[in-house]
Amino acid sequence: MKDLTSEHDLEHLADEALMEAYRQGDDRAFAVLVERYRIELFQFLYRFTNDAATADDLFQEAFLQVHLSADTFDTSRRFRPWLFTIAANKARDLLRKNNRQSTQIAPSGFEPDSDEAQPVIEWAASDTLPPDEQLQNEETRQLVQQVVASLPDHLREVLLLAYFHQFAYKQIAEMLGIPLGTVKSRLHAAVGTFASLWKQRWKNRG
Amino acid sequence: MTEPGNQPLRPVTLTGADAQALDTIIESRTAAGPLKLAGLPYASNDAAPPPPPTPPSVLVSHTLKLLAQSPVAVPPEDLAQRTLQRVAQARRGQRFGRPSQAGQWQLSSFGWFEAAALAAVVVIGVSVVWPVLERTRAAARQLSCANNLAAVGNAIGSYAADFDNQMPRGHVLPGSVWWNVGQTGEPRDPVQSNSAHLYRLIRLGYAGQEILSCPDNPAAMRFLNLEAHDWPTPASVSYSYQNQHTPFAIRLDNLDEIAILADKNPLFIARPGQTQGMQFRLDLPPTAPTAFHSSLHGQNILTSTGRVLWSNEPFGPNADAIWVTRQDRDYHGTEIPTDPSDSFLVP
Repeated sequence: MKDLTSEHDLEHLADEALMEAYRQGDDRAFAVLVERYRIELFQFLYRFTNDAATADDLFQEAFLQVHLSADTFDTSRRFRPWLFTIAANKARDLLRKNNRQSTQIAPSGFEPDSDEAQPVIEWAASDTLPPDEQLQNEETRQLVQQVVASLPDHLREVLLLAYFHQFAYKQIAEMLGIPLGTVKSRLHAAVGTFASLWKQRWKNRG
Repeated sequence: MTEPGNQPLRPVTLTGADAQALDTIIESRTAAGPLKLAGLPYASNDAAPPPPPTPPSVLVSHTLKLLAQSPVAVPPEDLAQRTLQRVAQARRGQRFGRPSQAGQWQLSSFGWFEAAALAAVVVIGVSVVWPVLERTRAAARQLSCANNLAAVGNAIGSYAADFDNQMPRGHVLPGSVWWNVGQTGEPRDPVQSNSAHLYRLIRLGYAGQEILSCPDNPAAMRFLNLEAHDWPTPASVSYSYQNQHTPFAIRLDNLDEIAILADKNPLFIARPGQTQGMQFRLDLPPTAPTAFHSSLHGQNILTSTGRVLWSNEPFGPNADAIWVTRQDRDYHGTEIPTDPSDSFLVP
């Protein structure tokens, strides 16, 4: 198997075919997968953890897990959701542990589709969207990052998967092992909470 | 998670119309398949989704415009390479874990008489040449450590290039203890061991464990533990690293030339019978040489400019005794360098 496919051909193979090649002993296929997801998976982990060194470490751990679990991967299924599931699990475990140790305790038990009534946000057209010339400046970008980072982990996770990485609701439900309705309600809560926090922080900025 | 003013964050949700508008956008985007990521995922201005059948609400359109401004963090260029090295190390570890049959010696045809004769020849030979060889071997081990420090210097340089010129450093709580070697846990757990900062080089793939192991250290770690965050015991640490429990991360780009790594500090040793903390040796002078390479009376030093030298004298702009701070005389595991030019190299 090792020499049947050229480097150039490998780069054009689908993820699942690369995993199959790796299982057959072609290490180059694994290298292609790592490089293929270097930017996107790092981005996901960076936005999830808000720390470059942690994202770096989790990226390596995720691919180490891919290597260790390669034999159990079902090549009839998609690789990308599987990879992101592994990475999200590792990031979530880490954040949960840190939240337990942190003096600032994250809100616990909040589930947007629970019976507890949640406040609902409404925006007027005039509400706190920076003018175009400010929209792309560094201050706005940093503030957006801070607000995303301050969302509860389970809401940020769904926001990242659905909005930034464009997984379908159904895929996210399978990845996280939660009902489809919960995925939607978490995304609604993520966007609503982001908007609410943004309003406060944009008005209070120095 | 709390908001300014210590009010707990209370998530809010969308109105029915906003939620519907958001679902329409998300579903229309994902139905079109994943984005083709050109270098950077979801860069700010390519956020515009295909037009939804109904116009989005103000809130949804504003929020998505803002989210599209989320900064893009570019991963280190060598991330893939380091990941592959880590996987290769794991693969080697898996192989080590399997019982090997090919490597087992077949002793059945080699009798006791032959073995005794061979042992006698070896003992006599070694005893004759031992004194001559010992000095050469000690010098070779010292040189090996100097090479290790040079390689670690390169690794620290690569790490700093990837992380805003900062030296390897984990999450530090102000005033916390730095001498509890053997820390377990997660990468972002508060660090209680100075060596755990240095271990990040191994964990993140900038250095192999072999270049952080002194050949004169009998307790040095021989195999990489991928799950570890620190050396397992004080004795297994071979080199002492600039104390990183300072209030702010130390940056290499505005540092005088000071010692940042050296052979092991002889003044801090494990407490007999205890797994936590260390004992400071008040019976030794602050300039005592490392216990490794003891016959040579000095130590290898790596400086902040990447230079490696052999020294048996205080070093740096203030003729610094590198094993201690400038102001402390006794130690309880929370002392830190007096200022950025104060070398304080500890396990």
